[in-house]
Amino acid sequence: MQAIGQFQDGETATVHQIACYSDRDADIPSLVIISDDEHVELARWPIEELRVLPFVQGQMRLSRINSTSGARLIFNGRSVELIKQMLPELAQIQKKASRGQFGIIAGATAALVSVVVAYIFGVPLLAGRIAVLLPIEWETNLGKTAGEQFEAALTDGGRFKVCNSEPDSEVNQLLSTFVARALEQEDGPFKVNVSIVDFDMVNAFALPGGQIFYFSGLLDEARSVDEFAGVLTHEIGHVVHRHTTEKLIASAGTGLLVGMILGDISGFSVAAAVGTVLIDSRFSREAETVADKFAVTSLHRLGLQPNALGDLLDRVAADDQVTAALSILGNHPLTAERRTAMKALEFGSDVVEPVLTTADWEIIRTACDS
Amino acid sequence: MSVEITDPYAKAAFLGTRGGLFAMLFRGYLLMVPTIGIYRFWLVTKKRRYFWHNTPIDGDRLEYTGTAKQLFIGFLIALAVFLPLQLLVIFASTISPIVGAIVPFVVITLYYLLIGYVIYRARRFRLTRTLWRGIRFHQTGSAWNYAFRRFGWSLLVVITLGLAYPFMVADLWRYRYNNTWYGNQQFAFHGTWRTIAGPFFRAHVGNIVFLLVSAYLAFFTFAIPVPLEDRTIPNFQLVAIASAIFMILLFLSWVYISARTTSRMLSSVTIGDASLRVRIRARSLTGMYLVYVFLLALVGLLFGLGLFATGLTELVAEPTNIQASSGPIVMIVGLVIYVAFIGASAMVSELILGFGYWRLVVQGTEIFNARGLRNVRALGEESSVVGEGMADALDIGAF
Repeated sequence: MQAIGQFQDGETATVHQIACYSDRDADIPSLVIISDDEHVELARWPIEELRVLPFVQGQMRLSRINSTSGARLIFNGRSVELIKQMLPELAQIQKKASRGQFGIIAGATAALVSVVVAYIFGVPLLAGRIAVLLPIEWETNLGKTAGEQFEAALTDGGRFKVCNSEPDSEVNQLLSTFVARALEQEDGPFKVNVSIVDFDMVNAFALPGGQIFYFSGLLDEARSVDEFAGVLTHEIGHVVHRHTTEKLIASAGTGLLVGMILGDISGFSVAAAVGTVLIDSRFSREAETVADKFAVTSLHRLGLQPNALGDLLDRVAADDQVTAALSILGNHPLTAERRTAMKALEFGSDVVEPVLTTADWEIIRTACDS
Repeated sequence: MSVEITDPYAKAAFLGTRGGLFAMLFRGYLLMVPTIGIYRFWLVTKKRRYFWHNTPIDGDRLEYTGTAKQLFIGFLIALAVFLPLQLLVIFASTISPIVGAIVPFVVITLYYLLIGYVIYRARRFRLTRTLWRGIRFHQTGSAWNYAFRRFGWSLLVVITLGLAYPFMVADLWRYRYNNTWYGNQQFAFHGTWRTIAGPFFRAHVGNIVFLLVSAYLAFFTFAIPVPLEDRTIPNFQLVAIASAIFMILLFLSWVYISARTTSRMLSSVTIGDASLRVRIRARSLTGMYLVYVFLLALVGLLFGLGLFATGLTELVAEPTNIQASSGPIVMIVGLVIYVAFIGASAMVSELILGFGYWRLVVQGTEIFNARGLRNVRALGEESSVVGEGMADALDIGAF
């Protein structure tokens, strides 16, 4: 049985018209290639070294395994059937090749999945470790840049109207005392700066480096100095534990990971934003619990109502969906877990002089009234 | 004795169909989901095989010998290069706001330089994985040389407001093609700046004249006098109309220059005793781009309507406010729609631009005296995967 086809020897650019048959009686069973016109043996290819190349329908191309030369056997039309009959091994060879490719795809996918899983569970640990190692100056600069972007985003390119801009005002003296007392038991070199901003959002934010923005909307919502202090200590808790920096590191990492998956290292904001939200919201909650604990313990230590934070959040949650979503509740969902955790903190019964009096509260509350 | 009367011009043909390509791409895009994108390297390899193997030149098909594994490894290497760079940029923003503002510009400039390097190496990758009649192509020359050349010329073109362009094109084509080999036969490029000077300057001068004339008309002849004051303001209606016309002119001149450049430059290539003759019509290219823009707009419209119907339009407008909305299900649906949109746009691009351009060039190509290539001998091996991986990471190269 012979099949006609073409032979490219990979040495010269001439295409030979050939016929070939299988010689299974030789020491090494081979495919013998004979030139069509001169009936000269051009080559012998051992059958076990044959490789089927992926090609178009109706054409079969064979090459030799482990050979980078361009030598090829080409069969068209009917010859393809003949060759398949002549060499039933080819079917096995092709199957093995596809399985090999499938293996590589599966392996690579599994590797990527484990990277993603490790990332989701490992990032909180890693980001926390890295955040602690960052020098304070870096954090301060990061905070400045983040603060500017933050301001621009909320005011559509403008600047915040800070109500306590005068450094020696009464409000600022009260705030400094409060912050100093809150940080008493911490030994970090943090410089916490509280800015009360004339803005209608019921929210407060902590940025890397110690800058805290407290919006007048939240000031109006708070009914007592305890509630005000509750939120402030919660934010100070974030600063102390460097959660914001952690979050930034984690977001940057997530952006890179998503970019890698989508195959675009230069990174696109939408994909990164979505990825960030999906992955980061998970360890946000841990950060919130830690900040809650700091708030509640600080409140108790400073002679204020420990339940104040929970009460305020409960009240805000009763508001309409949109306000609630944009408020402090939006990025700190008040789950039953948090509430229970806060209530569960046990305190001794020693009475402490409250760090802020009702008179002090009046001064702070009206900081933006002018 | 028989006399062979053969046409001295060997033809190239493209036997692929848009339907065939669509089926392959569609299946491929679907497979990208369970493999979280890893399948992309296999899809690109299949796509290249589809284009190469369906292109017979003088009766013998091109063969693509690259593998998906090579692309994947190239990608990993590229990651090792780019990840540190990205981290560096992020790190720079922590030093100070000023440094944080400068670094992106420096990085963009470096990227532009790097792109030249990557183009050259990726071209080498593809050439060395192309066989014709069993003989491999390859490329000599230095990728950094090419990168700096391209960068320097680009600066010159900007400084001369475009006048240096024909010189840039000629020099870069010459470097690429003089360093291209088919086996032991080196290519030669005979084009000069004069080859495309005609079409280029005609279009360039035409555009500038149009700008000047419309500016004069808008600012002087048809300027609107300000009542009670001794000055005039430009006629903004005229400015708007002129701008719209200018956009169209730019597009048309770009297509015209593009078609002429490819045709004339490729026709200046000789391979030993053989030579190329390539003809791409500007109108075919124009038609292709018009169809593309139309279909892309259609896809955009469909997805826009879809988002609107599911109430997700606000989500798209400000993705950073996602946290403010109601839950992960909405986000996942949004993500699915986003990915589907990317897939549809990519499909349109592949089917209209990718397929269209390949077919245009192949069908417009003839080789004079291809018989002269029968005695070429093999030379050169497959190059490393680095350039290809980086091209993938930077999203360079259509094929």
